[in-house]
Formats: sequence, C-alpha cells, structure tokens
Amino acid sequence: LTKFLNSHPKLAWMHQIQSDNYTSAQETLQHLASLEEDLCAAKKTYLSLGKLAAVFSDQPETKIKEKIEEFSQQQELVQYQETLPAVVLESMQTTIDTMPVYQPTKLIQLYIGDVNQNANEVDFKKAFELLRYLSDTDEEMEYDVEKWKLIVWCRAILKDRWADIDVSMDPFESCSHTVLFKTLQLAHTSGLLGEIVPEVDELLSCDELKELRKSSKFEYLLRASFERIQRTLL
Amino acid sequence: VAPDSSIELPVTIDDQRKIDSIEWLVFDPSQRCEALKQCNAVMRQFLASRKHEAAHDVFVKIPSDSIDILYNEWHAQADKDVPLPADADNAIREHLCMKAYLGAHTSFKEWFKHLHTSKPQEYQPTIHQTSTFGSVSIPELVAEEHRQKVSADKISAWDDKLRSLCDLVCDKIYNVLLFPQGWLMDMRDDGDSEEGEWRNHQMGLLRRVCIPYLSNLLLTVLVDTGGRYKECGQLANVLASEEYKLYELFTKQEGKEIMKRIQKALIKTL
Repeated sequence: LTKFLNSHPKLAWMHQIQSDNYTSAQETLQHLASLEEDLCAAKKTYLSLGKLAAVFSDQPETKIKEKIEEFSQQQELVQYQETLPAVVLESMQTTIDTMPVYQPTKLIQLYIGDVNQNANEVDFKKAFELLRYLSDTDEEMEYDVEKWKLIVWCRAILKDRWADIDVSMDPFESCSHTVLFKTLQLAHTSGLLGEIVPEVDELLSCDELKELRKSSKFEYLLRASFERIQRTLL
Repeated sequence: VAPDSSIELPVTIDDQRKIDSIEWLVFDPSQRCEALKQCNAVMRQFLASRKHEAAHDVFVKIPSDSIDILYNEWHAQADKDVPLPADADNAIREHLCMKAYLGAHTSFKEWFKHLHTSKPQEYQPTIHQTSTFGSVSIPELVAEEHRQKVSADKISAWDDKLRSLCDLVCDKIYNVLLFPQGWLMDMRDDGDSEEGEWRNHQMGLLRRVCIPYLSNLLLTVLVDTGGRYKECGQLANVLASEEYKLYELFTKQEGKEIMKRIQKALIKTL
C-alpha cells in the first residue's frame, strides 16, 4: 500500500492523516504544493493543509515553528498572486479561482507591466517585496536580483512624464505626486527601502531610461533625490 | 464545559436572576456603559458553559441603540475629537463579537431544524402497474403522475431552502472566524487591573472553546447539506491563515480531529 501511495501523493496525504501520521502528511503536502502548477487555488489548499498538519503533528516545538515559517512564506507568495489587480487578471483571461500558479518573476512583470495601467506605489512595493522570492526559486533566471531591482525602479520612474517638472523647487515637493516618490515614501515607512535602494549611476545607465537621460534636468532630479534618501537611511 | 457540545444546558433560576439584573442597569442612559460591560461579563459565563439560550436572553436585554447612546453620553462630556475611553471601546467591540457569535449559532439552529424536522416524505407509489394492459384507468394514471410531481416539487423546495440556510450559516460563521482583527480580541489596552486580567483570561478561554466549536459546526453544515465538500478546503485556508492564526486556538487533539473531518470531505472531491 505504501508503495502504491508513494506514487500517488494526492491520496497519500489523506491516508497519512487517517493513520495519524501528521509529520509525513505535512511533507507530502509540502511536496504537492511545490509541484502544483495548474491551479493556484489547489496550491493554496495544499499549503494550508500542510501547515495545519505541521501544527498538529508531534514534532518538537522548534521544528513546528520552523515549518510554520516555511509554509507562511509560501502562503504569502500565493497572496501576492491573489491580490493581482483585476485588470491584469482580465488581460490573462483568468480569474482568482481558475488561474494557474505564476512564478515570482512572472508576478513582478505583471505588477509593473504595461497591462497594469494604473500601477501605483502599492503595486511597485509588492514588486520589490517579490524580489525576496527570486533567490530561492530554481527556475532558470533570466536576470539576477540586482537587475530585477533596477527594472522595477525604471518602470516606476517611467510612470510619470518628467519634462514639465520645475527643477528650481525642492524635488521632494515638486515631485511628490509622482509614482516614484510615492513608492520611495511607502518603502521608507514600511522599512523596505534599505534593501532596495539602487546605485544611481547603474540606474541611470539602464536602457529604459535612455530618453529621459538626455535631459540634464531629470538627471539632476534623480541624483538629488536619491542622495537625500541615502542620507536619511544612514 | 459540557462534555457533549450538542447538549444545551437549561436556564436555571440563578441564571434567570443574572439575566434580569441587567434590566435594572438599562433604565438610566448614563449607566449604559456599565450595563454593556455587565451584560458582556454574564454572557462570557454563559457561553463558557454552553448556555446559548441564556446568553441570547441576556443579549436582548441591551437595547439596540445602546452604542449610539454610549457615544452621545461621551460627547456630552468630552470634545468631539476625544476618542471613547478604552474600556468603553472594548465593551462595544465585545458586544459586537457576541452578536456575531449568537447570529452564527441561531442560524445553525434554523438549518438543523429544517434538516431534521421538515423534510417531506419521499412519495410512495400507490399504483403498481403490472402490465401495459393492466386494469389501471387513464384518469388514475394521470392522478398518480400529478401526486408524484407535487411530491418532487415539495422535496426540491425543501432542498433549496436547506441550501440557502447553509449559505447563511456559512456566512455567519465566517463572520466570527474572520471578525476584523480577531474575534473577542481587544483593540485597545485598558491598563492592567485585576478585573481586566480576569476578563482577558475569560476571553482567551472562550476563543479556544468557541472557534473550534464553530469550525466543527461549519463542517457539519457543509457535509450534511450534501455535495459541498469542496468548501471544506476553504475552512482549512481560513484556519491556516497567518493573519488570524486560528490554528493556535486548537489543542493538538482537536486539530487532528478536524483535519480528519476535512480530509474525509476532500476525498469526495477527487
């Protein structure tokens, strides 16, 4: 029976629960969650059941805490997907109940991509937070985390037109309405800024900012602002 | 705590005295906050001993406009921007938590009654046709068909009602499980008086009694309404959510039992 169940994990966890083997059930469910690609809702349920199995298992408390932490992180990733803006889901012709599982890089792209026309600071903050999941996914990574970080910053910058901004004023006032500044503020108040603040030179050398770079006004604005932010972080 | 959770203990004379005493406190609007606190305290005792009937009787002693009265009384003596004192705020919140809980329990009772007492009997055919050329007349056949249809309609109406009652119970139970910021959890710190400590202790205890109890009622309703096995997985999502941490309110034994029940429901969805 065990042999049969090993090749049928969707039945195995059920048998393990009925035979009071909660630790094995937790392992099976964690495995099922990591394999699930077709349905995000199914992955969510595996994670929930796996977490409960861990909580009610007879493992040592420290081990249980560790497992709760692992499951919670994965639950959070599902939550990022569940809170994708409606317009994005529509463009993918899917719904919360039927959508497949998206990888973290895909989620970042969806949050900052063109389809999410009204992307605001909350979306960009989520994109930055999703960077945390990049290092531990074993999919082939197109770029490394640093490059992704720059891409998200570029997209935040490109949300506004910078041509008609008055440079003679304090950038923190004249630019306070821009998505970039709102993102900076939000990241600062939530304590996220330290881990995502970019090298300004690297940021300015991004291809996506080619057009904006031509304006010295813009370059001045960006440098002045990031410099000020670096100082508040120290 | 009653050994069997399905047994509802009767209201004793002593209980009735506690219930009636609240009446004396609601005469004077300036005492409404005190009345609310006393009502909450008596309800905590009743719920801890699973006296839902008694808890309900106390709850209705508090007039429904009491929260407004509390605010009015407060603003009569303090500026508009000054928030209510923490103890009053906590008492109001507790009252709303109790309301949500009683609502869940009442709708469960309605569902239960409908399921067990008002199901129409399956129609027993009165004519047994033996052959196409039997002695049954056409008018009799028509009448028979009509009786069958009436009976089928009755059963389907009963089933529709059961389903809508099931929806209602689910909503009301989730209102408790997902009460904003946690059911029976204070939002504001009210200093550490001895009385406050006792109250916190009771509320913690009630969370550990009532949340597992309602979770089990939810499973009962979903399974016995028929075909709603998939929704049992949703309960797992709610119990495992890190935002509410409801899983912490279960003992290992209770947790294992409810997981087994959820698993038994989910196997039917394969």
